[in-house]
Order: sequence, then C-alpha cells, then structure tokens
Amino acid sequence: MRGHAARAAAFVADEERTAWHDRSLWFVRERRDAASREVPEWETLRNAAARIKRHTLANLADHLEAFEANARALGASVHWARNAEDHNEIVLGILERHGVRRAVKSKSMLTEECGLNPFLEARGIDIVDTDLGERIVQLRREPPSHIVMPAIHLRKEEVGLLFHRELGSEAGLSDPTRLTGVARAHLRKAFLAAEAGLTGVNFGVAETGGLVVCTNEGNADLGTALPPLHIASMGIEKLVPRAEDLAVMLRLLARSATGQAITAYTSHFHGPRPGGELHIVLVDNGRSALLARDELADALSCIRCGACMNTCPVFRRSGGHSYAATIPGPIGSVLEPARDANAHASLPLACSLCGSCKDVCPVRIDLPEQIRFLRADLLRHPTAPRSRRLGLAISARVLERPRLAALLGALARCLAPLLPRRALGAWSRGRELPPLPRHSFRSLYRRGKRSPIDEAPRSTIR
Amino acid sequence: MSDAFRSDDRARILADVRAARVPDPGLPDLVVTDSAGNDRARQFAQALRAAGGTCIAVPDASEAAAAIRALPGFDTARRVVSELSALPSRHPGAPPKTPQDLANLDFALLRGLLGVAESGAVWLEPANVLLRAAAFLASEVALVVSHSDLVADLHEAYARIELGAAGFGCFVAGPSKTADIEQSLVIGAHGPRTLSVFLVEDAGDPRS
Repeated sequence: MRGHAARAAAFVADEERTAWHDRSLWFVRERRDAASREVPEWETLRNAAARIKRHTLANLADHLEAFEANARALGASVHWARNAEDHNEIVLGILERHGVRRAVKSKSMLTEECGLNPFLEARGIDIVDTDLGERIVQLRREPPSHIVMPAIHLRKEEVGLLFHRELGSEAGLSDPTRLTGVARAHLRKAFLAAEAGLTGVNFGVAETGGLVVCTNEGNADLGTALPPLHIASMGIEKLVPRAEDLAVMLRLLARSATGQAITAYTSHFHGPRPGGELHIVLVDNGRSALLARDELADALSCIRCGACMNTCPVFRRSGGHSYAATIPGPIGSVLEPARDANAHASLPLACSLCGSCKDVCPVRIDLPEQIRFLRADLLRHPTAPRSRRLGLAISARVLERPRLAALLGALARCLAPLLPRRALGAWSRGRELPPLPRHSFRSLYRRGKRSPIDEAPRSTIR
Repeated sequence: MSDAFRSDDRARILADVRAARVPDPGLPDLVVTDSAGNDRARQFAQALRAAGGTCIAVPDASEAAAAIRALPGFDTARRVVSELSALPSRHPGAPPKTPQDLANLDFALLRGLLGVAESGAVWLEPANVLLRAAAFLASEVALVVSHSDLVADLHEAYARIELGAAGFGCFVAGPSKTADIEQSLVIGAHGPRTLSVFLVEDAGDPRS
C-alpha cells in the first residue's frame, strides 16, 4: 500500500512548487504569530480554551442533551447519525421531503468526511460548494488539500485554466481579483437558485441551543439567508457549554487560522428563520470511540483552525494531498489513524516530532505525544512496513546488550563510510553521511575527555 | 428509516459517549482583560481598517445620514434597503417580498447594536429575513453604531448580548473577502464589496 512518503514524492518532484507551497504556508504561520502577540492574555486564552473543551468532552452526553433540548425549544429539528452513511441518508431524506434539486453548501469538513457530495450527486441533487477554495477543488473533482485554505496547493494559472474550461471565462486569466470576480458571478446564480443551504458548524452552544458558523466570504450567510431550509451538519464534539465560552474560542480561532482578529462574518443561528426550517444533524462517526481512548481523546478538542498544518515542516513540504485523508497535517495524523488504522498507517510516520504543532495549537493538544503514541501502536500492527518492524526489533535486541552494542558500534565506525550511499535508503537522499568519529563516546568518556563533540563534526544537511 | 430506529441511534450515541471516562478539569474562570486605558474608538477604527472596512466618526444621527448620502454611488443607487428612518428604502417596481428579490441590491443601511474595539466587529440582529439577506447581498453596506455601544472585546460583547433572543445574529468585521487563490487578498468575494461603519458620538433617538 502506498504510504505518505510515496505520495509526497510526487509532490516534491516539483521543487519550485514545493518551495512556493512551503513559503505560502509559512507566511500564514507568521501572520498567526503577529496576531497572537497583539493579545497580551494569549496564553491565558489558550489555557481557558483547553479547559473549556476538555470540560465539554468530560460531560459531553449532558451537554449534548442540553443542546438538543434547547435547539428543539427554538424550533430546530435535531437528528442523530452514528456514522457517515446515516448522516448522508438523513440529509437526503430532508432534501427529498422538500423536493430540493439544487443546494448550496458552505465549508464543512464533516460533510467531506462523510462523502456527502458524491452521495447526493449520485441521487440527482446538484450540490454546489460555495467557499471559493472548495468550489475550485470541487470543479477539479479532488478533495481540499487544507482545511482552511482548500486550494492552497494550486497556482493562479491553474485556477484560470479551470475556470476557462468549467465556467467559460476568458482564456489565460490569472489575476486573483478577476478570477474571484468570475467565481462571484457564477456562485451568485447558485445562491439565488438554491432551494436549501447546507453548512458545517464551528461551535454549538449547549445552554442556548444555537450554532455559530464563521466565514470570510459570507457564503454561509448567503446560503442560509436566501433559501428557507437550512441543514447544519455537526460533529458531536463541536459544543461549548456557555455563550461566554464563544468569546474565548472566537478570539483564538481566526488569529490561529489566518492571523485575522476575527473572520469577516461570525453568524449565530438560534432556531429556524420565520417560515423556514433548521435541521441539525449530530454526527458520531467514530468520535465516541476516540473519546474512549485515554491517550487520544484530547484530539477531539480540535477547533479546526489549521495552525498545526501551517507550521508543520512535513505538511509545508509535502502538501495536503500526500496525507490522503479528509483532515491532513498533524491533527489529521492523529484523527485519521485513530478512525482507521489500516488506511492511514503511514501518517504518524509523516512527522519529525519537532513539536511546533503543539506550540501553536490554540487548545493545547499534545500532538507530538499523540503521534508518538500512535507510532508505537502502529508499528505493532501487522500492516506496518516490515523493514521498520525488523529494524526496531533488532535495535531493541542490540541496545539491551551493552557489549554487543559497543562491538557493533565499532564495526559501524569502520564500515559505514565504505558502504554505497544507496544502502542507507531514503535517508541518504539529499544528505551526506557525516564524517564518523574515530572513537566511541564510551571510550572517550573512559579516557576522561570532556568534549567529544570536537571530534565528531556535525552533519551537514543540504 | 423509522423514527424508532433513529431514537435508538440517539440512545446509542449518548451511551457510547457516557461510557468514555474523560477527566474533568472544570470550567475556567472568566477571562478578564484590562482595557481601562484603551481608546476604544481609535482601536475600533484601526481594527476595522485592518479588516478592509472604513470607520467614520460623526457627531449625531443626522450627520450620519448626511455622510451616508455622500457615499460614492448612493445618490444614483436604484436599490436600497434601510432600517434608518432618515434614509428610506428604494426599490423599482413592487416592493421586495423574498430575499431573492434583493439580488441586485446596491446598498444596505443597518443599525449595529455593538462594536467590538479589538476586532472592528459590529453585532447585527436583523429584525426580518429581508434585512438579514440585505446585509450579505448588498454591494455596499453601511452600519450605524453608537459610540456608547463600543465594548473592548468579545468577553464584554457576550456579556451584553442576550444570545438566542434573536433567531439570527452576526458579528460583521469588514466586507466579504477571500484569499483562496494564492493567498492574494480579494475584497468582495460573494457578498459586500465595501463596509462603512458610522460611529455616532451622540446617538440621541436610537430609532433615527
């Protein structure tokens, strides 16, 4: 089975694009840094957010019941879906009851997770993603490569070509303002023709039964202000207990995501609009199972800001599609293998354990520790690459035996420089083998030398 | 699928969630920000500019109306939705009945209930579906906010908002925008291309 490394190889083959992708995401990371420094109580907010989410998870069933009761009291319908199939059937059922043929949808990673678009399209429903980046990847028939910036992997010329082919815009267009104008005219028609508006949910508020949806484009707002039917798909972990908790979350979310103080639109829905209907579909799809795993349950605190992706050295250089998962990057490398260990066995290995994701996470998820845990778990799994399992098994045996380790170390110091570089495998690509020291640390230590570092020049990384 | 089946799903999900034992750290104390020395109006204007909007300070409501009349294109605009009594709505032909009738709306003039200094966001609670749609469909949006309704941050904002009292409420910070094509910021993605906030020193009659 092709893993992350094999898929990343295709992306990094284009060095110029890899460097550009890396710079684009680092630019967003720097904007996040600047925005966070403007808030003196930033760390207090992160601590508060972490506690709010963990408190919510610890009492999730109670909060879900309160949320449902309050939402119903406001006139919303609340549906429960145990898995992706149930979610899709529920949404389809609502659309069919209203005779809906055309619907618009704002950004929702949950509906990506459930495969809602292909499901509805196969049943004759025209579903248009209205977030510009999502519309671009929908027209390309590919998944988003990033949860906040779905088309971050594409150049403007590629978007120009796509719009020329799919939307009939003039050939050779590559100016982002003019391309956005083309999309605006195209999507305006979809908004006006839509018979239903589908959205995701950024936060549900247990004590009020309301939903909060954040966008910069205003697409969730247009999609719910025009047609009278609103269907909101929501993971069961999306709740906060109180209205005031929104202040903490919203002050962190946009700053962490894009470096903005707040998104252009932060809409609060409490019940259906007059004469309309609001359906809330609460989805489990593996979340309760993850909640039961002590070491990993924290990952459900994620508010999907994408900061861990923007800072991750592996994500920046390998692109979101190399993860082959709905949620890529560090948080995806926890959520996806936790959901399906076989399909995503290579993801915990797509990490240098540098810890940068943990430093930027607004809800303080200990991603490196969770990835390390999953890595240990997966290497015990029968689908793990044999070479890795064998290597680790040999290392364990050798390191348990100090004399054997010393002997093999001495042997390696003599023989390693003579090996052809290919023998070192993928590691030798783009790297030189450092000059090896003549003496082992142990022999230097025994002789009382204080700075063995002098004898062992640092490796040079190209 | 039958409703009985669905209620089984609900019970099962709740039972699965209850079966997981997650330690509870308790809710944190309210975050209190020391904002006593801040010049809220200046902070608000700066934050709104950073979000692509414009803040214009005016002494009273009639000056706000005059300033809106002076906005480029307002004179000749054919379609205006307004909740300000000094500036009537305009619509050629029959008055709009559905949000779709506002498809080519030029201006939306709405009252903001709160302004948030740290982010330049204005809280709206449009009173009906037409006003709500207008806020997102119009090419140009002008909001009128009283200086005394400026709060330091979202903590203060939520302390003042009675969340859920209105079916729909929205923080609006700047015009519609996107950076989905190569991280290039483009103002006017789907919705409004401009947002002007008129900060009224002496609001007087709140309905004017």
